[in-house]
Amino acid sequence: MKVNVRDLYGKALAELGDSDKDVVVLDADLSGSTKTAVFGKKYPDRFFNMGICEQDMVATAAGLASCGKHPFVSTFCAFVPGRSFDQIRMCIAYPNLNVNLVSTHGGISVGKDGASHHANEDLAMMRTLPNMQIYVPSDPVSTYATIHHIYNEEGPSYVRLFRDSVEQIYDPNEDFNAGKSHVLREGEDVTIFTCGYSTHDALKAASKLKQDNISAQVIDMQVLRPFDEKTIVAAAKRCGRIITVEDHSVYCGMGGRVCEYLSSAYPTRISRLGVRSFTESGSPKDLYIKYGISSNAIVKKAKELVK
Amino acid sequence: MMDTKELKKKCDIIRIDAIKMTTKAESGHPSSCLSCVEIIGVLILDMMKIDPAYPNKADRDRFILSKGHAAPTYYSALSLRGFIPREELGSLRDINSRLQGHPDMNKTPGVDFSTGSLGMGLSVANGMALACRLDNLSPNIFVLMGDGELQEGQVWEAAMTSAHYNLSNVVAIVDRNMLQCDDNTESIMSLEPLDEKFRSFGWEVFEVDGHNVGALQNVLRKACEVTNKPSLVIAHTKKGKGVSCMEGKNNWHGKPLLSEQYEEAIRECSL
Repeated sequence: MKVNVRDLYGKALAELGDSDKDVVVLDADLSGSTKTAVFGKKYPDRFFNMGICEQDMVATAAGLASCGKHPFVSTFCAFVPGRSFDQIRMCIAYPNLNVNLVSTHGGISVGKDGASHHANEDLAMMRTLPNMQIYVPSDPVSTYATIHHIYNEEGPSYVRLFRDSVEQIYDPNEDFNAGKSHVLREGEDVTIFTCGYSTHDALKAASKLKQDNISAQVIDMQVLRPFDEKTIVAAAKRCGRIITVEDHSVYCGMGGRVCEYLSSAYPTRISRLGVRSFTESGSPKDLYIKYGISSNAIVKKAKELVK
Repeated sequence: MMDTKELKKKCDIIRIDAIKMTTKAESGHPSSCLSCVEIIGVLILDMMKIDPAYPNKADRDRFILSKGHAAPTYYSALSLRGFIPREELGSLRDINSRLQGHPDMNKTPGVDFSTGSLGMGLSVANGMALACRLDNLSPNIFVLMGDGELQEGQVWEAAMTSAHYNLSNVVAIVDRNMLQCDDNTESIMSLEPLDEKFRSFGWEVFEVDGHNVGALQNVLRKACEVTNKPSLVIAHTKKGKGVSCMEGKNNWHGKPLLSEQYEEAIRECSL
């Protein structure tokens, strides 16, 4: 059964609101879509709809945090960080404040709204900021666990969620550690690093490759900072061939991060799949095919590498 | 309320400090520091309920220097209030110094928020006021903005927020020195009628001679007494006030004094 990860965000947020009266939530007129409205309905005094004013929202959250509140800030990834980067840099990351930015509708999986709403640069922006923790969960279980995790971690964080509903990857009856990467599938021939929505296509690709006797390891890079160096090096050593695939620009995202690290820690041949241009309207499925991050694109790349 | 004469004398010290600090650092914004000497002096030394022995008290008044380039004036006032040793002022902008070119809340005791990129302070002040309201506290939240920075769109987003959430303990002051980096504000991107703009946004607006210590004491008290809306004090000032070679003159933004100008400036401000 497919589940909307944003519903899990709303659920986790309301729980945090129950247990901690210092949790406050800010949204920029998208609370129905981001699911912060669940919190807003329950705790109207601690919910601030800031209107379509992302810059003001981010800096207001910083002011709240400087007085001991624990703000969660939400809108679409296109606007936070897209529209408010300097406010995040100056008011949150630089003073190292306890503000959790949870943005939704990341990447081209947003679909028919088109290029203006396809945030393909958000991870790149956030990666440049010292102090900023970065999470890209892939399913309902990891999303729910990530929200509780960032609440407990000191300092600022950015969580990127997506629009479409997805199948469960992780077992809801097991504790999920949101602070590390996860090996989803063991394999010997090629390692596929992925995160977020693309994780589902990476798993599909691994199943297809198996039919052709190619054994693919799949790793969910759901946290980009702190960076899980041990898991990455182990994977590189095991297969010696790496593909990265992400619903984000190929520049400066998860794949870029893996390359930066392995180039010094364990130089390995890496092929990166990600968006390389501005995009357009279309269904997520059609967009994934056209922009080269579908499960078939992963299969094709893996076969090239293994050949 | 501090004796106005005594407060004036302290402001004279701040003025000389700001000139000395930026000249020694060979960088900084002395002209922007001098237009807000009295505003910051009255706030830090007289108006604000703050205590260097307990710098993090939850119900203390807050101050955000949104025009962060006037940091030397701020540091000097904090030193006179006992937050920073006087002898540390000479380290402004040096490597490893606690006194950064623009205020850093994690480095300098008494600084409530880090600033430097313009137009963000009012939003931060609103956040502080909302947090205090949730805790049933109502300290005064002061924020000082330059006039040039009012051109940032975020200021107007924040002006809506202060009024929408009825943040009557937010008191914003505009250092209306009429000059921005390139030229007069009205020739670069006009701000007038500034009072009407803020009134139409739902603010109570006051005007004052921003170099008149007694008048500032009075108007800031009145602004703090407003209970149904946020308050703006338009403080009419002169950029470079007190130093004849730069007072009210264009082309001085971000320029420290040369040594011969420095000698003359110190002489003028010591009279």
